[in-house]
Amino acid sequence: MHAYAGKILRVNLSNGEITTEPTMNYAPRFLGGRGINQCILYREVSPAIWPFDPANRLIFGTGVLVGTAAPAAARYTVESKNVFTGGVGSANAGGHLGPELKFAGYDHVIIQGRSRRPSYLWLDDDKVEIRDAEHLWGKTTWETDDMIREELGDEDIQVASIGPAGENLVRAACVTNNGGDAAGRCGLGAVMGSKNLKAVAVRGSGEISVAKPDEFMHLVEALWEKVIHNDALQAYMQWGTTFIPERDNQISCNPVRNFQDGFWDPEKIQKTNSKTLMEQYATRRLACFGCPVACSFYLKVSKGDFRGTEGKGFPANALKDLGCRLDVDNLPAIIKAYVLCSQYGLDIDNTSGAIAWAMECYEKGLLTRKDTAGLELEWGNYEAVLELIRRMALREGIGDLLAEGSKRASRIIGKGSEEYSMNIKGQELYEPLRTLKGWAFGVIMSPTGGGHLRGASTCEATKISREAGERFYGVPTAGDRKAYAGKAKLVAYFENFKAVVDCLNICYFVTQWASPYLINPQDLAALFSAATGWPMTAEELMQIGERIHNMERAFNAREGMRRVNDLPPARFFEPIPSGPGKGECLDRAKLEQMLDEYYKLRGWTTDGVPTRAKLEELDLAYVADELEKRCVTC
Amino acid sequence: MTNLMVNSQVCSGCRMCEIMCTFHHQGVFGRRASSIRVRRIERAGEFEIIVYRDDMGGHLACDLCNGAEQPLCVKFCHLGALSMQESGM
Repeated sequence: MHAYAGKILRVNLSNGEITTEPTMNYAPRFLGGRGINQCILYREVSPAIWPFDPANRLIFGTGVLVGTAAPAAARYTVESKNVFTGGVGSANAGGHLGPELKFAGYDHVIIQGRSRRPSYLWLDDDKVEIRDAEHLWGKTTWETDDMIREELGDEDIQVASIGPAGENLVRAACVTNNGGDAAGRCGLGAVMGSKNLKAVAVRGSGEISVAKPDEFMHLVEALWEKVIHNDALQAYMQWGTTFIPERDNQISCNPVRNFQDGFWDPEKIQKTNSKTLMEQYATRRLACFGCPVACSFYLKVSKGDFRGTEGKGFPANALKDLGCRLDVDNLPAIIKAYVLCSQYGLDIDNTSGAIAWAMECYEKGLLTRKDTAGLELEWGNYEAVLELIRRMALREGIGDLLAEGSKRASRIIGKGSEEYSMNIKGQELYEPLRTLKGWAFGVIMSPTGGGHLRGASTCEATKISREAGERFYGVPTAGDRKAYAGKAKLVAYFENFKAVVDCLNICYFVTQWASPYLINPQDLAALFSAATGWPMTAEELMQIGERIHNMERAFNAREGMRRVNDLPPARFFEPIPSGPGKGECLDRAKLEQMLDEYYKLRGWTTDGVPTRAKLEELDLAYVADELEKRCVTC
Repeated sequence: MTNLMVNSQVCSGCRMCEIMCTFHHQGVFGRRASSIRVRRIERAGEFEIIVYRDDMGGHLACDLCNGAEQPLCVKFCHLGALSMQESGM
């Protein structure tokens, strides 16, 4: 079996049972990575199982191309029941863990049950061991990585771990590797904590073969050139993604003060922009495995209050989440907040969402100094932000409330604070939704509960031409950010495409997501065929993507989600108060119209449930049977 | 005569050189047989690039891709951490 490692490992932490099964049981219909993970999740995690139930699964998946020379074939994906939404949980991360798992001989690792004591999983090629982690409990992700490498005597072991946040079942907890790469959203770190699993450590000395080496290398060379010379990626190669907040400010597309505005004071943008970051704090560009883009940096703060702060970072999210969303314009403080999140094992989007909600509640008088034990939660108070991050991770005082996420927290304190919880399907929202209509729709429709790495693309932000929109997606308005027309189709295209990308697990950045001229379905089909030796067309790949997307939708439908869960917070129907995008907002009627159009295109009911006809067309008759049995389609 | 030069200061740690090297030697992707090893010093954000000139601990000796003008590791290192230069310069 070429390209695949060939086996799926299953570890039951309750009874220590360790088994394997062939990846081939799933590969023909679900490819690999997210596809196989979602298939397993749907079959094994029913509505009766809550996220922190030992019976919930935490499934690590690599990808068909991971470990090969395909550009940026670095990622691993983690699937589980989502601790925010109760629906599908799915997030992926770069770094070096994914390839290591593959070299160790595993395409997927299914973790179920709950260990009686803190433990970690050690995968040393064929040798699988559940080891004691009593001494690691309470340690940060960085300390955990270092201690595991030290005790196993190899600095090159790759580790995915949780920090104190995951141990404490903080819903914003993520799974972290390589000091700052994270499978961030959906609370997967909390699921890991609920299993008393501190880390998964891997060492792989094996190799991955491809079926047609010459053909594969020929493709790799051509795609490598395509990536490094692509116009849209030049900025990423220079600034990572840190240029984005400044760019987005030109259309008031930032989450300022919990999305109350979209335009951030240009002076504050100046103080925190990529130029300042590069000149004063970045010491080196960092790349994930096999990636020519290298969008990450090593950062060092060498003077001022935060002197000595250093670590790996730093995506656009960091500046938007921990900067403009909280109105913090002190760049070293933002770096410090980011590093703290990496160490505690907190996803920055979900952490910032809870803190921003608390700050707005404080502004509106719904939370007071009495509630915060003296902390003044004024916008821009970075000392308070840093303290809240700590309290959240450790569930201390008000941190215990914020650890539940803003939606649950707002239900606990009531008083109308629900209005300030910016969530989709229950998970914190990071993306502004008023100025880019297709992007907004893609974010809203993500089955994970918000997220710009599914159907949302950069077509609008990069203003692709009408010709390109028509040629690549059959949507001439793809690059017109104000147009609603055609966006349902565009979003469906990218949802199917991303499902494929996540099965092969190359980075979304080197694909059409960033530019129409980057890696497309034809390229992926060619890579897949040369790697596996199995004939595959772009159309067939995209249909597999559609199958996976429908399976996720069915999972959510089985949990009770419907059309009503496909709407954004009311704030996005109100106009932006300032900046070049002043007055813009989402039009409720047009959004509803887009939903109708999208459901029809998808072959779903008007309430957003996949129909039997569609599921059978995708060879998912058993899913249709089950939805009927559970009366989802009654 | 040209030789492989290393500048780990500009290395991004992508490890493409390692797997391309193994591909040259064995036609598969992995790290064990590679003539290059990138040590990742994660807590300092630094890297050390080791080139094996002789067989050692499973690593095969670098043969500059059989004397290719541009060995695979150099070809896929567009940041310039690895390059071919005239020796003695």
